[in-house]
Amino acid sequence: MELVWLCLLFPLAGFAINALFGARLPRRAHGLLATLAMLPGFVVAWIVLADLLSLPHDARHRDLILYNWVPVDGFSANFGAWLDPLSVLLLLIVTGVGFVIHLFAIGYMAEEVEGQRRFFAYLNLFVVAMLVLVLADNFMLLLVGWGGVGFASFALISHYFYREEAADAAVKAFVVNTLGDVGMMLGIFLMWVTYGAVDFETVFRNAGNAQTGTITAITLLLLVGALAKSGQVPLHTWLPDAMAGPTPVSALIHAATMVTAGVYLLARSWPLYELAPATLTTIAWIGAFTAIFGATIGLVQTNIKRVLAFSTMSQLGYMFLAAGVGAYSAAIFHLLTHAFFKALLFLAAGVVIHAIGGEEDMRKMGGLRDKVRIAWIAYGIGGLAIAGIPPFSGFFSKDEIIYSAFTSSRGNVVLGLIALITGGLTAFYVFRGFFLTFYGVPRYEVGAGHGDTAHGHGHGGDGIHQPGLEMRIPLIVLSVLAIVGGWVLIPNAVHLFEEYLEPVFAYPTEFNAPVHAAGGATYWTIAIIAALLGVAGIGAAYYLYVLKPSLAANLAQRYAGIHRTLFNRYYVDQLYDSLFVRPTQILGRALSNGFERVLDGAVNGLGYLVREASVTMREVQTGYVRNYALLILGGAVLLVAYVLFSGA
Amino acid sequence: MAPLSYYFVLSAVLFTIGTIGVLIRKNPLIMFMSIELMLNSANLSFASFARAKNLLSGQVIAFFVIAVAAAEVVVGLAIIVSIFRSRQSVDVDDVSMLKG
Repeated sequence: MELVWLCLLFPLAGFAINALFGARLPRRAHGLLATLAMLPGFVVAWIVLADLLSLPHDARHRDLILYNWVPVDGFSANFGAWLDPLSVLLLLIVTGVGFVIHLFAIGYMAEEVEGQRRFFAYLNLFVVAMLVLVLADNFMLLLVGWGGVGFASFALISHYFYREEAADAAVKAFVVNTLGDVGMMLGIFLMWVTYGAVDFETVFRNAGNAQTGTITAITLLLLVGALAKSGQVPLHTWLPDAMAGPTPVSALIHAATMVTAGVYLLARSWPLYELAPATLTTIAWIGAFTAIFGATIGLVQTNIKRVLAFSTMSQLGYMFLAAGVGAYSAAIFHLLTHAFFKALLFLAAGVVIHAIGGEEDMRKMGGLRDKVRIAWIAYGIGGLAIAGIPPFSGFFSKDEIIYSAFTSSRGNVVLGLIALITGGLTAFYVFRGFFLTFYGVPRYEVGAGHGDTAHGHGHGGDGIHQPGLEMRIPLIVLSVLAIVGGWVLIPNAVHLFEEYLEPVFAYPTEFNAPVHAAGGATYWTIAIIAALLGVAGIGAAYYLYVLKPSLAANLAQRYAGIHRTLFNRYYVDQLYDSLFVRPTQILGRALSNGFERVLDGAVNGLGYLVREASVTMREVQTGYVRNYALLILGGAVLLVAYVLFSGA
Repeated sequence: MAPLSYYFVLSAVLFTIGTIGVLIRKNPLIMFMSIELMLNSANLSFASFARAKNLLSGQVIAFFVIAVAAAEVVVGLAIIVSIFRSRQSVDVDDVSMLKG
């Protein structure tokens, strides 16, 4: 199990080599190096999993301490790895999905002349930070990873920093995430004051020794961090903008791994959350609201990546909903399948964008089915998975959540219905994107070209950039996973996943999360309704965007008000802009003007004084020896006079 | 022996003459001579006190002053010579490049 440190070491080495010596390496080497750095970690993750599974079922948690990180009197935090089924599962997702996306990025970024080294160095750094976050055995180290992924995300969103939109998006992401970090930090401070420790072991064991009010405060503060990181309402505004980064970044950071950190935090801290029912209720409602909020906005977006971004928001809302009703394993299950099918959707979108030379607007796509067949298939599989069509993975994970929302003692019918309806909307908007992109009349322009004939992937005669092998393999791998990924938990049949996670959510044993033995007639009824809604969504999308394209435009015109509100994302950005951003700018400008006058006045005044004084004083230096002699004489006379008349 | 105050009056007169000489003459050689006058007026005071109080230290200091004056003249003359070489003049008012 100690091998787990290698998972951190290799990407760190990849980052260091690319960052320090990358300038001497050839252009293609950066991506190759970064990708190879990912492979050992993935292998080691499986070894760690095997080690973990060899332990008895109830003893599957280990706290590996590398060294005492903060050895202060009365406080201690270790640099340690907390290995249990939950963290090892996340370890597998991060290294595995990370590896295939690195591989994909080699092809996607191949044409970039500059910036490849920076890109891959940061991508490796992100993986290191994410693994620190996932493996940390205390909240303080977790916060280090938390901040680290925030920074890597910032650096990668602003990859095309010369585009104003990307630079702004990066700043926005960083500011909103920092807001969350502050909340989390306060939560950890309060935790330390309350329990006298920040490590998982002590905090969770003593969770019940505090007042409910205090626990609620701690959990709410931690929740602020989780909301910001996972793009939940009201701290969601940065996530859609973050799509300004390169597509592999969107797939890895803003779909599969980093944004799920909030869900991980909730699941990890469940012994605390279980003791704060008010917080759990808040989480459930925020999750449900975000789910339907993101889905409705996704209905009308025209940028292929933005649709997926709102979909990510919405799916994370599902996970929050699950955590809020106490179905932590359902949340983690959806996290797992979502990592597969959302990464797949993003990569497929990446292939399309790459194929037609960087265009992201779906109104300028269309008819691409036969041009980039692999993207068509991959997007279709990802779409079916997210729409919850059996037997694709999303069907099992999403139904688990809908079922929990209905039946959990903390859930209720409203939450369940929201989850159900969101499922239908999800199917509609994802397939709207699918049909707009791959069907209908071609509306794209090709031939802009990139003037680089030696970049290793074929061009058909039609100017479409075909993806190379390094881009095809990740699509195939993720497609397979998006299909079979859900088969680890089939109610009434396979219970692998639940059994695997059970030790996590049973420790410490005095608090038992409501583990759902899903199944039976209720489950299957809900599952069938959800699947039918998914099919209906797809059908509606097919009708509106393939059979009767004019009808969609008509509808948009007839309900122009709604359309505009949705298209502008309920004007939340504008609201925040006028509520927070503008006043801050005005205040800042006013203060800066005021302070400039005072501070600059003081500094400039001092300079003026010194200058004027020296202009006057220099007159004394006449250069004539006899003048100096006279002054010396005068001084001597004064001294003598002083000695004589002072009475000494 | 004449009263002690006579010596001091002489010493003060010599010192004043020397001071005025330093201040109003432009020729460095004359200025050096004036400085010698000032130093020796001080020597006169030392010697007078030493004689009147029967102390040897005043006499000794007078010798020290003579020795220092000799050394000072050596350095001063060397400077005057090198100034003369570079500017063909020994007028102290011509040497005013350090004017602020």
